[in-house]
This record gives sequence, C-alpha cells and structure tokens, in this order.
Amino acid sequence: MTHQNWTHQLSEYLDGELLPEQRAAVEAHLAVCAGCARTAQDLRRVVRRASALDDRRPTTDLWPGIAQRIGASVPRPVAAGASGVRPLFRRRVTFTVPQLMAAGLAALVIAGGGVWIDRTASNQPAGIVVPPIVVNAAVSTHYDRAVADLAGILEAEREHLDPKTVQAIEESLAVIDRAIQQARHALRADPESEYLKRHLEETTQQKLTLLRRVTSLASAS
Amino acid sequence: MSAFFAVAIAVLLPVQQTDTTFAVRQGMRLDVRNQEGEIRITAWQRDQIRVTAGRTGGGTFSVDQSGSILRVRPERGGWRESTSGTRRRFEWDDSDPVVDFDIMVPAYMALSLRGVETDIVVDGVIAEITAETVEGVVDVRGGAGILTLSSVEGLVRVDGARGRIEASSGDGDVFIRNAQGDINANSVDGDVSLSDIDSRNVTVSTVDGDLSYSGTIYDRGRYRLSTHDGNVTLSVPENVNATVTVTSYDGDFQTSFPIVLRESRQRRFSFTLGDGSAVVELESFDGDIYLRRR
Repeated sequence: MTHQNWTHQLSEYLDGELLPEQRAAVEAHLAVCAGCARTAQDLRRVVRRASALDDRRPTTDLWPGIAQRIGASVPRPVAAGASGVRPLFRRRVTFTVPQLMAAGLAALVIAGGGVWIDRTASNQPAGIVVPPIVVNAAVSTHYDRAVADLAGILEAEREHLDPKTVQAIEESLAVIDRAIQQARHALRADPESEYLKRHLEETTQQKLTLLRRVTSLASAS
Repeated sequence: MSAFFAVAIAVLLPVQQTDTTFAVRQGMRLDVRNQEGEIRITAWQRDQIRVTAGRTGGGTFSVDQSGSILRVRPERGGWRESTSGTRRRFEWDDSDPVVDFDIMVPAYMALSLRGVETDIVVDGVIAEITAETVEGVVDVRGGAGILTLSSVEGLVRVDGARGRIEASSGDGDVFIRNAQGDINANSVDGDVSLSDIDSRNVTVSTVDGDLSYSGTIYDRGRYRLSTHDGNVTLSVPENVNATVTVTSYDGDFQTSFPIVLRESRQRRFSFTLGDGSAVVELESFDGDIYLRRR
C-alpha cells in the first residue's frame, strides 16, 4: 500500500470509524512509518484546535422568516443556551487529509493574522520543519474565551469530583497562571523575544489542555 | 417474609465478590470505566478475559459486548444495612460504588481504561492502551502501538513500552523508562523523567518541575525539553550528532562537552556536536540547563 493510501485512511482513523482490522493495520503502519506518524500527529493537532472552536449561533436569527416562507412546521434544532439544554447537533470534525491540511494552514494564517516568527533557518538542519509561532491579541482572546468556557464546564462538573481533586486542579491552574503572568511580564520587558512569545503560547496551551482533560473526564463520569 | 429477605441480603453483604470469565479473540478491545477504586489489568496466556471485582458499598457491574468492544462498567445501586435503635434495616444505596477491578486479559488485548478517583495498573499487555484518570496513579508495564496515559492528579509511570507514547499528569510526576518510539510527556506541577529511551522524536515539558532525558540521540531526530520553573538535564552519548539550542530566561548552562558557540542571541545560543544532524532544544524560563555525557 502506498503512503497516499495510508494517509487517506487517517481521517477515518482519527474519527474512530475504521473496522478493527483496518484500525490495527493503520496503527501497525504508524508504528513503523515516521512520515505517516507525523502526518497523523499534525492532523490530531488540527482536529484538537478545531474542536476548541466555539459553536457560535448567528447574531441574527433567520429561521422564523425562512420557516414562514416555506411553511415549515418541523421544530428547529434547540441550541444550547441559558436553560442548559444540550444542542441537538454537535460539531463533528471530518475532513479528508488535504482538507485538514488546508484547514490547519488556514487556521494558522487567520489566527495569526500577524506574527510569523523567523526561526532563523540557518539553525535548522535541512528537512526539519519548525512550526510557525503565532502570538497576538486575537489568539490571546481566543485562548481566554476557550479557557473561560472550559472553566465554566468544570465549575458545573465539580460536584462529580472529590473536593481534594478540585483543590489539586485549582492548584495546578494557579501554577500555570503564575507562569503565564511571569511570561507576560517578561514579554513586556522584551517584546521581541521569540522564545518568550512561544513560551507564553505554550504555557497558555497547557492550561487549555489541562482544563479540557479534566472536563472531559468529569463529564464522562 | 421480611426476615427471610433480611437474612438473604445480609449474606451478600458487606463485600460482594463477582468473578466471570469469557472467551475473546484478537482484534477486540476492552473498555473499562470506574468511578472510584482501582482498575488492575494483568496479561495472561489465554484467549479469555477474567473479571474479578471486589467492592464496598452496593451495586453490581456489567459486562457487555458491542461489535469488537467489550465494556465493563460498575453499576450503581445496592442494598446497604443500617441500624436504627435495635432494628436492622436495609436501604437502597444509589451512591457510586467503590470497585476494585482485577482483570486478566490476553497480552494482545487493546485497552481503554477510564476512571475518576481510580488507580490504573496495567502489567504485561503488548497492545494499544488508553488509560486516563482524574485522581490516581497510572502505572503501565508494557504496551505497544499508541499509548495515551494521563492523570490529572497523580503519578504516571511507564516501563518497557514500544510505540507512540503520550504521558501526562496535571499534579504529579511522569516517569518513562526503557521505552522505544516517539514520546510526548508533560506535567503541570511535577517532574518529567525519561531514562533508557530509544527514540527519534521526544517532546517533554512541565510548568513547575525538573526535566531529564537519558537515551539515544538519532541523526535527524528531534528532541525538545521545555520547563517554566525547573532544571533541564540531558544525558547523551559521547559521539552524538546534534545541533543544540539552549534558551534560559533566568538560569545557567553547564556542559561536559567541549563546545563552540555557533550563534548567540539574548538568552539563547546554539552549538553543534558532531555533524549537527539531530535537533535538540533545551529551554527553561527559570532554571538551569545541563548537557552531560552518558
């Protein structure tokens, strides 16, 4: 089987849609093929980022007008709102590999909107791709919003967790917050530092990852 | 009549023990969830799974199969004895049971294990493993293919794994030893230690803790260790070929290798060992960085 054939299966693999034997075959290949393994890792990252995006409702509700014109009587999907009703439709991320790669690229470009940090190509041996580093206000806002969303979910789920666990989680979040604050402070003093920009982004990402992991496990319990 | 039921239920209390064994085949996956207690998986040389569960409190557990997935779940509910004056009473208790699962599986059995206040221990399985808990230890000996191991509050330890290893802890240390394959290991408030590693691709990070790596540095491999508040120690063979970049915002760098700086910027410099084929990045915001001969 060619690399292309393998990579074409990665999307279904990541969505858990392969038959057990297909899944086993893909995993066996990933274990021995560094190229495909890297591609799968990249796709996972894109899916994770896409999953972190908010399900935003349109600011203007067009449905009543449309329903009136077409005479629709079917109930429209219920969106999550203040009542806490779960949405009927959840975002499901399923793309082909080229689409995912394009989406990942587009997400980086859009989210960055600005800063592409030169990683001094002379430092890197040929063949090794260093991912772009993106730090700006838009990204920071995105992170802050995602963190706030997940913190809200955690608050709602905290009754399912042991108080000691909640305390430990809060301490871990405090550790990350301190690190973020120190990185931001350092970045204000040295705004051109590539390292500090990346360090700040990665530390913020760690907070997101921790919150996501906790809320996922607590919700599933 | 009520006295009969009281006696019958009393026989089942206080600790129920369930033991069931059934046949399985290659390609199946075992999926176990637990709220509180332990999930202990041990490999044996049979094409069978044996589930033994000791528990305090009421409730039962269920085993069901859907396609190639076998699900084991604790079930809520059980009769609990209470005493009111001189009278014994039995009340239905709907709280989460504390279940200690002890499960024997064929070594080829892929595992999905999730818990909340749960320790997860796996010994001898040579297959894909996902083991995630909120509060508790994740301790894996063996494992092959994709391994995803995490604890929000607790130690994560891996020994003898082969494949792609993702290990993380929120408030706890991560130890990986004698492992082969790509590794991504991180903690928030804890150390991350990798020893006897054979890998071409290693990413290790923590926010508040020390990092250490001892193992191979392959030509064209990639190795990145990054901490916010802690020391970084990399122990590598004498004849390593690597371009090493060291970044420390507020710390020192020490090495036993004779080095010539290739480039130096603010708080960041790089140098080459051998032909510089591998990429090694060592970062600490507030800590020292050590590069040692192994």
